[in-house]
Amino acid sequence: MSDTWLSLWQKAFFERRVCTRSSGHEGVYFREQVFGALDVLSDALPDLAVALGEQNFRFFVREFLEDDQPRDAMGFTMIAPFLEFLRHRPELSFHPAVVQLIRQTLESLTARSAR
Amino acid sequence: MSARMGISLRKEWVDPLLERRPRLCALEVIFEQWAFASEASLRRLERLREEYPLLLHCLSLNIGSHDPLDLDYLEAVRRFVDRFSIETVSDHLSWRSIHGSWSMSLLPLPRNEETLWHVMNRVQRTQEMLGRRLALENISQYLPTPGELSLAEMFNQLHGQCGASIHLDLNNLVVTERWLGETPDDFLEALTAQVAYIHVAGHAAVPFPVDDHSSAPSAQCMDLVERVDRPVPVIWEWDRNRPPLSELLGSIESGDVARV
Repeated sequence: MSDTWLSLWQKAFFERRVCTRSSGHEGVYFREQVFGALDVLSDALPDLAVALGEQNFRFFVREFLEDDQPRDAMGFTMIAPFLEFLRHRPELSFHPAVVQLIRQTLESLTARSAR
Repeated sequence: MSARMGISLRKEWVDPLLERRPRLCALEVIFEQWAFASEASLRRLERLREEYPLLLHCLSLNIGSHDPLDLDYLEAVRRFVDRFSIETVSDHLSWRSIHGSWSMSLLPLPRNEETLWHVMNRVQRTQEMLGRRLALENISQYLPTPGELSLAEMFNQLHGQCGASIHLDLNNLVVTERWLGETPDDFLEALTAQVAYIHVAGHAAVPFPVDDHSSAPSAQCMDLVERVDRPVPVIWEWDRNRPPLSELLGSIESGDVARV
């Protein structure tokens, strides 16, 4: 199928919003919502530390950690790749509390899978 | 209102519903939950079909994608709707894959003529394969997308040009309003497309809401039901933190659906 404006737009959207080298190929439910949140919140409030806030971040992490993530409706999630992906976002690197949360969550996931 | 209410079916509710046979105008069946069901499960669903009209809701039609239509998937949907005598089949006005890589989310489409014609072409082919008109749901949109058309105009043209109706999700309108500033009132006022049926649901009430079907519908969502002057089924979706079925049915019976 030849490239059209729409296919090129979808390819660019997917690469930017959904699929990255660190996240694998299948994407993660809510990922573009998280980055939509980053975009919208950072537009509204330039200070991301204030804009994102721990409460919001905890909410998004909880989304990925819940056992009843709507896998029966929307498929499964890939929590660790998502968090790895988040960890390497430059927007977050300046926010030690958020990075710390990601690291703790990843460690707890690793410990859980090792048991 | 109660007479128009139905629920999105979960597999664990089939036996209780067969036992209780509550008054519901319809049940929505999610195709992906039944695509690989055992024959025994499908027979129980057939028994439910004898009691209630079924509406089929799909998640993987991928109608807006540039990838080829999945004809095997469509054939499986056709066999399912034929077996259960289902007339209403819906999916989302969205896309989920490009070059074979899939997202688990429903991704927003540009709102322009090229996209519209692309979707129309695929809707027509889908309808020919299914032998039924398709309904397309408005998704929760968290990011603006390019284009000169309004979302209502996209749905109106899809209905006018190929007969596809809208599967109107009122919670998605509420969520989208918070993110993009597009008001449900403006959308409903501009909408002329036929409405197949309505979704109501709750969303996570973080500062910017996320459509996760984790609670009862908001009062705003239920108020919008009254704005839609079409006598179509209103289906209550509740995917996460679900209350027991008896509580859900009790709320429907009492007409007390909205979250305070």
